[in-house]
Amino acid sequence: MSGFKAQWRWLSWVLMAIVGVAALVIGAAADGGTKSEGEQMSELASTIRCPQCRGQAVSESDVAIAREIRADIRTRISAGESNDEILQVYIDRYGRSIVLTPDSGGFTGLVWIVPVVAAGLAIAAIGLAFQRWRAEAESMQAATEADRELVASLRRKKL
Amino acid sequence: MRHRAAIAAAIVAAILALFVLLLATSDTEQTGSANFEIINQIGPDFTGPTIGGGEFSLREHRGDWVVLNFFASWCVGCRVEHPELIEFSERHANDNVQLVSVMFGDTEKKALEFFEELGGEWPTLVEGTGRIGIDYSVTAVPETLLISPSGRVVFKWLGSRGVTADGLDEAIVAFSAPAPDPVPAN
Repeated sequence: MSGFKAQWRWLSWVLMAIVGVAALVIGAAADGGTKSEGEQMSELASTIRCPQCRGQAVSESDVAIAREIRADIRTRISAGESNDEILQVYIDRYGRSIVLTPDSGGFTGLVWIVPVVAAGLAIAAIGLAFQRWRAEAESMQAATEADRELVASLRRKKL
Repeated sequence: MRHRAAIAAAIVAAILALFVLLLATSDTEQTGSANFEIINQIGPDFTGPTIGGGEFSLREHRGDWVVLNFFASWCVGCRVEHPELIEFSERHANDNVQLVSVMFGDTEKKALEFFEELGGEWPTLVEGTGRIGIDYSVTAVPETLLISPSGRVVFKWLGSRGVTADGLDEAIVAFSAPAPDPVPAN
């Protein structure tokens, strides 16, 4: 019976892991279907920094340069340019800092990697701690006759 | 047990230190800073209809000094500098210096009214000009660029007070001067 319980416990962990990984993969791969040009423009404009503003995306600003960039993005999308091509145009004109999302390569790529590694380490540490507590709990032997005698004698003394 | 706690503390400290390092070395340019990516590059070509029915093509002005001015009717600095641009265009009516204005972040109607009100006889582009501004890394008007006869952007003026006729002439003289001979090695 305990073997069946252990197997069932492992199976539930494996199932949970499969569901978790599947959800992450589907979430990451899903593109939400075909986007309209307006949606594509808004999405792209939210990743480009307004050159005249303080930490604001082009999609959020109404200054002249932001309006012109939004219009230009719409024109480029209509002309069939890809998101990467359009972003590259702005990087060429205004420098890498025009893009609000950090670069995924080089030293800056650590911004993406470090949180994942930290989360992995934290989960591993919690798992190890649980394992140790369980081992400690299992290593405790059942009370012997001598233990019961000791408790009973102490009780008698107290009374 | 203490040993493990020390290791855990060291890992946390290392991760924090890494974040601090990332923040310290990241690009902190966040606001309205001037963009000079275009300097020393060949000015992107553009062609378009001008006020009054003509057409302007930058390519056709290779061999001339070109002063490329971005403006808008709502821009106070553009109004301040406009008489200076008129003065500059009159000074260079008969030599190889070409002034061209390009509307940025405005409507054609208002840009036309701006020129009707303040004057100016040089080529001015008002139709579909947003792309030209982006090609020249414009951030906010007024911005003026000086393009050398070889087609290279050599200088950029920014700021709410705009340019002056004398300032433009001084820049042309400065950039016309031949580069000094290299200092011989001892």
